[in-house]
Amino acid sequence: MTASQENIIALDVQSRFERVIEKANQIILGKEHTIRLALSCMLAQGHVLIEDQPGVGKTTLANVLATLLGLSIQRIQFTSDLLPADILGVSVYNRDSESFSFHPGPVFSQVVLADEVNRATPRAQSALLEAMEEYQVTIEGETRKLPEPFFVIATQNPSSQVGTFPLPESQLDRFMMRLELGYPDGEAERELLKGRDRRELLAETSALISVEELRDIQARVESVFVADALLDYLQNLLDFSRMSTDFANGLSPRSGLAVLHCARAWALLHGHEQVLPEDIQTVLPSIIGHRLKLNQESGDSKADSVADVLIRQVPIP
Amino acid sequence: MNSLKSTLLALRADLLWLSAGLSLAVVPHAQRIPLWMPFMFLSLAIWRLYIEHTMRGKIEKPSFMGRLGRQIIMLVIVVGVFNTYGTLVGRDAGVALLVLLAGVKLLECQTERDYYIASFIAMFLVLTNFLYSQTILAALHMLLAITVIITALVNLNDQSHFIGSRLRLKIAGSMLLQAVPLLLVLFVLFPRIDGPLWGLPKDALSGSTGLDDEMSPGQISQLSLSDKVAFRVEFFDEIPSPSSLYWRGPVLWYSDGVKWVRNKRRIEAAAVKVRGEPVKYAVTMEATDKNWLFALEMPVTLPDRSFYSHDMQILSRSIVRSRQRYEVSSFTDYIMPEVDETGLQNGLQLPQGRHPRARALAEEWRNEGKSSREIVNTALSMFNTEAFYYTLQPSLLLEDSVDQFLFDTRQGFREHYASAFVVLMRAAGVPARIVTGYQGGSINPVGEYLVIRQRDAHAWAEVWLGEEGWVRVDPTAAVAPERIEAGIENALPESIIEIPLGIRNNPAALDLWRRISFRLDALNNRWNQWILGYNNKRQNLFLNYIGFGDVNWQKMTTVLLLLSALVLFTVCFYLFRTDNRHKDEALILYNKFCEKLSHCGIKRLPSEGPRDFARRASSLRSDLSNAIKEVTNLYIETRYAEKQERILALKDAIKRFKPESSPAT
Repeated sequence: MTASQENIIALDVQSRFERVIEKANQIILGKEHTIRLALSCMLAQGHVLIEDQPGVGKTTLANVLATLLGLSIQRIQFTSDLLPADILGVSVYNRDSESFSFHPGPVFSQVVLADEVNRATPRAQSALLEAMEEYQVTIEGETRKLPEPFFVIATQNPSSQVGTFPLPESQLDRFMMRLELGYPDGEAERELLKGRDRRELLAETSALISVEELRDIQARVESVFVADALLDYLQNLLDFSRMSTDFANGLSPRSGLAVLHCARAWALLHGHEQVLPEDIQTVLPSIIGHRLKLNQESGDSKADSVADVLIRQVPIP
Repeated sequence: MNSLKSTLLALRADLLWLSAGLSLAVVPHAQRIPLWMPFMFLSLAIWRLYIEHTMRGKIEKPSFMGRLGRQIIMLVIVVGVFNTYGTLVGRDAGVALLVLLAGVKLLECQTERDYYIASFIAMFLVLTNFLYSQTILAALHMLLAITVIITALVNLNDQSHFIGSRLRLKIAGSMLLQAVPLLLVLFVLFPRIDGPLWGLPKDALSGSTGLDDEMSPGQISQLSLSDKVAFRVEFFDEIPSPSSLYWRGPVLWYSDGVKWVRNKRRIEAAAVKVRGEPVKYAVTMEATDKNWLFALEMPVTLPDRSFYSHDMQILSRSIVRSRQRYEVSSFTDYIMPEVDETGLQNGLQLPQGRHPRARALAEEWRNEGKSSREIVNTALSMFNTEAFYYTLQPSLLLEDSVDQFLFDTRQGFREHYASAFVVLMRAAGVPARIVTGYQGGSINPVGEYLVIRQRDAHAWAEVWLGEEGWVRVDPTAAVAPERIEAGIENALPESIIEIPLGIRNNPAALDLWRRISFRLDALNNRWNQWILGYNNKRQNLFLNYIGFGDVNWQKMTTVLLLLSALVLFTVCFYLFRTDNRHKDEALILYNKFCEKLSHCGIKRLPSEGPRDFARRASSLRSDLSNAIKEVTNLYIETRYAEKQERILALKDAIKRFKPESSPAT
């Protein structure tokens, strides 16, 4: 494949995704950046955790993305009495065939929308989180593969709210990104209030990209060029997070890989052939936000996010 | 709080290494300072580790009580040291204070800075050991301690804890190895200056043992318990027979009945008449607080900066404060005349009213009409045939030591025999004097040299026999001739010589023991000669040898600086080269571009990516936006897409990029 051909494909990918973004943006108003981040995360084959107040459109975002990418979606509403079997499925005795037959649970779907994941008990949470890591589930001694591609889009309420079981750090780490939607700005809110019901709009939308195309693009993420100079920058960031007294803990190698993947996906999504430090800086906040903690004493002001502190202090080599 | 905790947990390894380093630095001092000091240091260190253990890294602002406690400890230390030494400065008090304060510093170690300071204190403590001892062992100890301290510093700088203890030790070791070239350059070339600059603090010599310039009974016997080396002698030819190995020291003339002192007349010695072949040799003398240089009787050449006293002792113009090497040649066959015959009167002085019995005996001899020679022989045969004993532990002589020794106890050591003999001679009218010095020495077969230890200290007599001049008479030889023939080791009780109990009766083991100690002494000798004895004379010789020609200190300093610079530049070159791996050409070019923009007041932030910067710069200077875009795209291509072929285009674009400091209107 020649460079120009690659260019054309890159442009093609970009224009297709621009349409996806445009469409999603019509439904979820004023959240273009978040949508782009979520899409890059999906291109990098990562799971997304959306954390925000109830009613800001978390569930809608998950639905929109699944629909536009042509993926099957199942929703699991996590509650405190949810059992692992409710997620994974159960074997039921079939009287006709005189044998047990397996009834797959909602996890057997290309996109699993785990709503309010922190309302369930840790036992139920772990059933889902196993699936996220292994891309397979073991039920009654039998290992079953999950469909491909497999995404979990989990939403959670801020853990300060009543009746929540906060996800432990090890399980948070399984989510490549944590996104916050936040309230829409005035203009977007006005339009939302004026416009039609979101659910209706969602029902009208159809897939813009086929599953095959999606997997093809996922494979192409890996081929986005990464220069040594960029790896130097990424390593400096990781090193700094480990050495600086500003942070309570360092970034793991896994988070480093996640940053690189997402930065590649982000670059691809924007039609670039190589990753730039800016790409890393853009995806960094949502990747390290739930992994790195600031020391309480440090940080110039409370408004500084972890990523801001990190980015500001590490020069680009 | 979490991160502080982890930082401190991290510091634990530093703390352990640092405590180990400090303790190692204290170890050699522990034997010299009062026992409570090392004990207190150890308690403070253990206390600190205990705090670390119980607090598990929690950090707390020191409470009022904690601060008060520290002040109290400080006060105890200062008072204690002052009480022991009467001062807080000087070598001994200073070291003691440093040891204790190191303990307190360890106790209050909290921040990174504290750790650094404690490390440097440890290094200084290690160094202070050299004020006391410059042996090979001290050097090895220093090497070990410094390695441990550097490991502590490596720990301190490795906050990510990615490397294990063994690797840290390795890093510290390789850092020390990297310092070797600089060490060699500094050792060889650093100007050695003779003089007080290199002198030790005044109290450094307080403990040195050796001959004194006066003699009273029991003094030399005390020395004979000391195994310390007085000097070593390398003979250029054969070693003379043991019976002629008399190393001349101070000559004593006057007696008050107990004590003998020197005659410090400032006149030149008369020329010695010599026969036979000279013996040539080099002496390496240990430090004393005197200006005496020892030489075989009779020396005929003088070392540099020295002169003869009127009674043929070699005196240096300066005190021998450090180990010194000099070459002398002597004749063992000689006639020593007296400078002026009136001086012989001094050789007849006796304290008034003392030694009546000795005087009576000598009177008797004189009345028999004996010649001087016959009187000498009579006295010697008296020592030889009557029941005189040679012993290290003579009975205490309280009143008239000479009379008591001659007629009652008859047990004595060298000084007793020498002084009794001289008193007898003088009373009989024969001029006589006491010569102190060393006799014999043991041959080290490994290095083929002679070691003279303090226990070889000796006192003998010289009598004036007219034509024959001053003649050496050794009364000890009359009583214990084996002492002169075979050295003191056989005459002394075994327990004096440090041979481990188990091997004393085993000839094979004893032989092995002797051989090992010979080898060790040979090693020590080489160390003294080449490392410690590398003074300005040796330096000149060495530099001449490797072709520097005539050397002066200016030239030496220049070469020293040049070589040091060379070593440092080599290191820098290596470091920069590895750094350049990351700094490729594109970045250097881009930095130039950024610098040009910064002249227009647009500064790139260190964490600003090229695209973001280009966007910001273009929005500030829309007139430059095209050029900025061009450069940025080329830079991204060369650096982040690694298209090296675009580097020339980038170079060109940046060359063309000449922004005016304000937008063109």
